[in-house]
Amino acid sequence: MPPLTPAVIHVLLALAGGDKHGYAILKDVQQHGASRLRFGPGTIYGTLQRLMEAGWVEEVDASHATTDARRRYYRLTRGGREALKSEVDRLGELLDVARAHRIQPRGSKG
Amino acid sequence: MPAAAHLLDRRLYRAALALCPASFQREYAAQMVEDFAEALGEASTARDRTAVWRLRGEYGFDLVRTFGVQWVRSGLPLVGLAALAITFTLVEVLANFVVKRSTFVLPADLANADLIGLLILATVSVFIVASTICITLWAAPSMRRPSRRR
Repeated sequence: MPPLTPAVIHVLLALAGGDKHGYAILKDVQQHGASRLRFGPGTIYGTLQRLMEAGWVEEVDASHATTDARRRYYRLTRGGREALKSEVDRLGELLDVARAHRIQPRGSKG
Repeated sequence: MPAAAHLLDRRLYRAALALCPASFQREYAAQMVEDFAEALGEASTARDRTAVWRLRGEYGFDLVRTFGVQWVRSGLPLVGLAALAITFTLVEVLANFVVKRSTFVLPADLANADLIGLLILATVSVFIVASTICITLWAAPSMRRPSRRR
């Protein structure tokens, strides 16, 4: 599997925390994705569209949505969770290589 | 920030979204407008007076990027280019066929010759544009993806 794009990783990570609507995903990405990543709704919904086509994300039935009825909610599928886990493993290995070369992430105490 | 300004922002954003491919609009435009309105409301209550303008800039930039990405994803530009190539080939074949089998006697009068040349050029241009549109519209439906809305 090729490396995932930052937008895909952040959307999958946002949905790993539970079902969310588009704006909640956007807020989550802005909160955790650092200020360098400038994602707007177009990027988020475009990414969601691709992820749904790939079968990694599915839309939650509106009757099961417990909160805002105007919104459409999205959920991570088993395939999406596995893809995210693979990517996190890959990034972890990359981080190990970086640490072996004495390159520490900013803010780490290692 | 007055509510009227928000309403105008919302309308402008909704109008700009109309430039996206129809399938993307159907699926996400309503939600995007809703998100924009919510973000605008949050930005206008922020202490930073530039927040609303920054938000407009960010959403505008995101919109432009979305137009490009979604149109490329729709495959329509590719269909358009293919249609243009097919049309040019047809015109070339047709022109070769006609030129080889016909003899044109152009009037000696220079003004008339220019007029005929202009008419031929206009006819070919209209033919190319019309054929490109026809082939694009003919090929486009097969490239549309079905809606996944549940």
